[in-house]
Amino acid sequence: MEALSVSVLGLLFLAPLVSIAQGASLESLAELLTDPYLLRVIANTFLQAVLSTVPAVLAALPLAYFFARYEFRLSSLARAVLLAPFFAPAFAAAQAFLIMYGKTGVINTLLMQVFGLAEPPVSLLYSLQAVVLAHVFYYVPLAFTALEAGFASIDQDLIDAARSLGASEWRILRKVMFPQLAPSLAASGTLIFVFSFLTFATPLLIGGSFTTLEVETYFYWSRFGGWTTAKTLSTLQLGLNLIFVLAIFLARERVLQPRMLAKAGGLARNRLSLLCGSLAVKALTLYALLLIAFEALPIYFIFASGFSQGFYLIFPLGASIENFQRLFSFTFGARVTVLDSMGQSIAIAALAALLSVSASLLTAYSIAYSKGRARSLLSAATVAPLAVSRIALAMGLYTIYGAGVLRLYGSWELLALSHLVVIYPLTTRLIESALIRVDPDLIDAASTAGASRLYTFLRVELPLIGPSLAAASLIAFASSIGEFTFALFFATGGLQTMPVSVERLLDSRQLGPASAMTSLILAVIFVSALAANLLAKRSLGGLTYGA
Amino acid sequence: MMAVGLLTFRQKALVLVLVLITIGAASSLYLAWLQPRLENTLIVYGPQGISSFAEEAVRVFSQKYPDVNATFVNYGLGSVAIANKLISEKDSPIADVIMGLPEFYARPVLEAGVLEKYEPPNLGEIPQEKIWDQSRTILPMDEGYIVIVYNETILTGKGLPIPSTLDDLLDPRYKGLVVYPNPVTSGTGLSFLNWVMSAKTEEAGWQYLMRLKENVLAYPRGWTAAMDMFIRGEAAIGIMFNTDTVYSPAPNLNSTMVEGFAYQEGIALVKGAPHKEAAKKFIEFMLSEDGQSLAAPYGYVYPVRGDVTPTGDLARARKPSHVITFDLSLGGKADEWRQRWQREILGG
Amino acid sequence: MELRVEGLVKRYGATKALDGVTFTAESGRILAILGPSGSGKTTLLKVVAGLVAPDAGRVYFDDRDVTGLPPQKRKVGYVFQSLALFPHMRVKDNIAFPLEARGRSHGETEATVRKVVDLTSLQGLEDRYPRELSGGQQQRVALARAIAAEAELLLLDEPLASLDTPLRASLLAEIKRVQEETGMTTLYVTHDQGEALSVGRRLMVIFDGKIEALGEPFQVYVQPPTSRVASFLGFTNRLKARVLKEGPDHVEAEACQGFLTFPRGTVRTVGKELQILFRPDGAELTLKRETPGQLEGVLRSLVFEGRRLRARVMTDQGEVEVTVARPESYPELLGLVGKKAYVLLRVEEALVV
Repeated sequence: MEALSVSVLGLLFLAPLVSIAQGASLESLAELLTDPYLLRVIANTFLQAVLSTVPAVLAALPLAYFFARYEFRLSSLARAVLLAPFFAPAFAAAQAFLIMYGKTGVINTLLMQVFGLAEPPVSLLYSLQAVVLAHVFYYVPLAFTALEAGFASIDQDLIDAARSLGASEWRILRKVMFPQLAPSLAASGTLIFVFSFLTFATPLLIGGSFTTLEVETYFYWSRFGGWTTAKTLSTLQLGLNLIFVLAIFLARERVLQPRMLAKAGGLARNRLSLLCGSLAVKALTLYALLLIAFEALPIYFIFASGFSQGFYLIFPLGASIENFQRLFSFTFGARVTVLDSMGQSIAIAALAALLSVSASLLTAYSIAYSKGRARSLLSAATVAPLAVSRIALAMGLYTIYGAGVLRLYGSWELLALSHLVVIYPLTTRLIESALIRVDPDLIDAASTAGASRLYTFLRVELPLIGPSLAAASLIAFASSIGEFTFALFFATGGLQTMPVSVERLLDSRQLGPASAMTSLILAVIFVSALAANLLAKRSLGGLTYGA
Repeated sequence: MMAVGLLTFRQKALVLVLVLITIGAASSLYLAWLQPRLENTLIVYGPQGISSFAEEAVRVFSQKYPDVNATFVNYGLGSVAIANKLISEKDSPIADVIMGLPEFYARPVLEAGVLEKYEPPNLGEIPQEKIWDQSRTILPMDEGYIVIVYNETILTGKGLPIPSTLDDLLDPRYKGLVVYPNPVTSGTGLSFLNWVMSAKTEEAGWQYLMRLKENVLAYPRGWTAAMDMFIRGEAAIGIMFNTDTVYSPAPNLNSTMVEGFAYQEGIALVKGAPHKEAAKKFIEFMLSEDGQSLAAPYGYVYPVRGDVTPTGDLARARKPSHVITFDLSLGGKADEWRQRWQREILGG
Repeated sequence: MELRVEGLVKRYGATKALDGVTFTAESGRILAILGPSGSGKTTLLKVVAGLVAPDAGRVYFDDRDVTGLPPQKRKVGYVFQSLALFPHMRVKDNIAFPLEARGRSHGETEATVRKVVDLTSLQGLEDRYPRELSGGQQQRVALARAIAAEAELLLLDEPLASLDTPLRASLLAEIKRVQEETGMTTLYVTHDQGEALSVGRRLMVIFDGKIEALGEPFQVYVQPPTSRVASFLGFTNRLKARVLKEGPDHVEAEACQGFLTFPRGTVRTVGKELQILFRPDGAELTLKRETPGQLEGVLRSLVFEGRRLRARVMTDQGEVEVTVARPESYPELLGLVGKKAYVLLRVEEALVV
């Protein structure tokens, strides 16, 4: 069982990375390390990662506190809205930013109209600021869920005890809450830093001349024919990625998962009452509203700009389906129609989901029932693809399977496989947590009743984790639909999934149809995520995200 | 749904497995079905800028050879970018033919070894001086002139003088009005670099570009995006083709045609092309009268065959008085310049 | 099927859950296993079932060494403390599970399920899901599933623990009836004294992984072999008495200002001191000294428990608990808390160690 999982991982993940490292060269490395431009790119990558992490975590902190401390109507709705960007694919976040903060975007148009300006005042796009802001937008929901779990693990009794001993609120915050919260802060910070470091779609689409290591590597591969340089850059990054893998593994295993699974008391909750509340409470509520708006509006405007022609600030007034009409009459090169693109996305997503859940079932079973070192190793191995450069993986997959004997480049099989590599960690995590929650007595009962391990698995465990399997499939499906990096890398000939279609539409300045297509993608993803959530709730507790 | 509850566990499990297998099979079959659409298709790579020309050529070619399915693919890319795409697919070629390959980007493509030499029977009908690739791997297809263009309405509206020479573009009054395509992705843009480097010396050329940066509004991805900006009135001054002054969608575009740069593009057979025979026929077609006579009306470029006279609007277009031609010795610098441009000019 | 267990040892880290356990369970009989939580009772069951492998020792079913055999191959019916009913299966599917798992034919399975349903009085509930049943009904389903595949051995782990007190008696009777009809050798594990004493032909008391008593329930109850067993079985009061005189047929001793005379037969070893254990209901509480044999102390507290009163008297050796059988004297006695009280020991019910 373990052997099978390991070989799947090995073929799809390790082999490509090794082939990249083999393609690197020492001379190239020497050149690289003495090239001020590339050194600056590396420094920039670290910089934007740090600048994305700190604000995201800090911004989410009061929000998580707000939700943990106060009960109010529509809190589930608020939470759902808040989590929406979390499920949106990265390129959609970048696109949302184009719509919100571009020269002819919502903010500028609004400001120009209100203040009667001739020139758009806000020039945010195509810079470091754009990338950082888009990241903050994208990762606040992640930080929020992690911190919420952190707050849930705080013992209210300790706070009450401190209060009764005369400690001031500020002291309580510092000495009681913060230490209990620190692990969650560190863990979410680690995740966001790593993901920001590895970012691709965002700097590619709205970074302008500000590039990161990932984007630069892609350029060397695709624009400058510098394959050796690209591979050397990647190998350098992979060295860093190893550290990332360890960091993420620790963050998830030691901090986030235990907190998410625990059913601790958490903070005492009060009904939110704005009329009677203190100034601090009112301020906090305002902050929460603003942050939720910051998260929700860009997504809203993607839909608004998809469903209206011309000015979409006044949406739903002026709603029209013209963008959709233009979209569906559009033909890309190689006679690829929008319907072709959609069909490919759906078919590949269905396959990727099936493969991923099957592979995860095997692996999750191994992890759940193995112990000690083997278990940690296997667990770490399934986390690894999340913390590793996707361009490196893409180049490696191309080198081994795309070129060479198999020549799978341009084939949907290769794209589906590449999706499998990055979706598999997600589904394994979901299925593993579901398996763990199955009452071990049930398995013992089946054993004493004469059932072999396989029979028990098929008749007892599988049905019990059924809803979680369905949820995992939906999440896998949604992830594949929105996947951008591999889709772009492997898009050639007639292979063009929806995210690539969006990119090509954006390139051709077909902004309206691009919004229309992204609206479709987001709709599919949100519905899947919602269904997955409901299913997972039925099966013993909710989904554990990101963590 | 009631019936579902009555099924035994075993039956329910069977149904589920069947459903999953059906989904898997259906998806695979659908994707496999999509593939052959291009499997028996001749794929021609080229920049988005020559779409009208290329699509008409492909259409006429398919009529002439009904058993061949031909299609033009550009992925929305400029001439340099599509050449790079070809290079990146070296180990697993998708395309059969590449057209619209600019003369000054020939060297990287040749050195990458992604082309195969093919001399069609009608090559002799092309004037020898037009064959710019010594190895005769890339065959001449058409040519044009890159000149300084301006939007008459905008400039007169702002009371600004008309630019004629490269140095004119440095006028501080033109701040935010100038565009030229990104040389990293666009052949038009790279030709501008060549023009600048050929006219001045290399280092002087880079200094010029840095100073010009002050006036530049944007660097569109390719000719198409640049033309879009002119049509929309976002750009006032740019580096475009001489024939763009008679391009109907952009009526206010004009040029003094004082100086210009010769832009020659070619066509070549891809090494390891999946449909070699059909590819060869296509190349032969593009060099024939039938193919060449499409250059002017559809591509707004000049044919290379002597016996084909440009018709239509093209005939009206003026040519630059002083033409700078490409210095072959600079051919190898293309990649170096593009990288340097990305770092110093774009990044800066 | 006779179950024989020899020298079972099981360690979890530094602690020994089973420390050399050896006993035999008679074929067709119930052996009650009594002990506090953590005494190793559940571990014992799991080792016998094959769910846990012992570090040392052997398990024999009718002289067959089954120690290495996996649980699937042992014919054991196990009723878990948590019941472990499959929540996604109906009652009839739960019961059918052991049969289907062992590959019995559809017809045979159906017939057996019907038989077992009748035996455990579950008629009419076959199509329900476990969550739709009451605690007692769930318990019977667990039992039904355990006996469905005609196991040789029935293991019950605290079967009544999750039930309300009124239900327990009736369910206990049910369990006994079912066992009688099937004739399965049974191990019944519990921490409840009353259950353990009434359910089986033999009683085993286990502490810290060691057997400290094994025999007929009445004997064990009346003459607990060790002081720990004695305390567990209700001899919660412990006193030291100074030996005054040793005669041919009795021993005189003194404790807490009371003079006690014990028949020579009840005293095992005579030294300078006697350890005396007695139950709260093995003594009487009075407010006046009536005989010299009464222990002296102060009435500390009085608790009304419905059928009886529980009085705590502080002597010079610590607190002693005495049950007062006349609850109606509560108001009267309540006023006398803090005053001197006397405890008359019923010597014949006491244990002398």
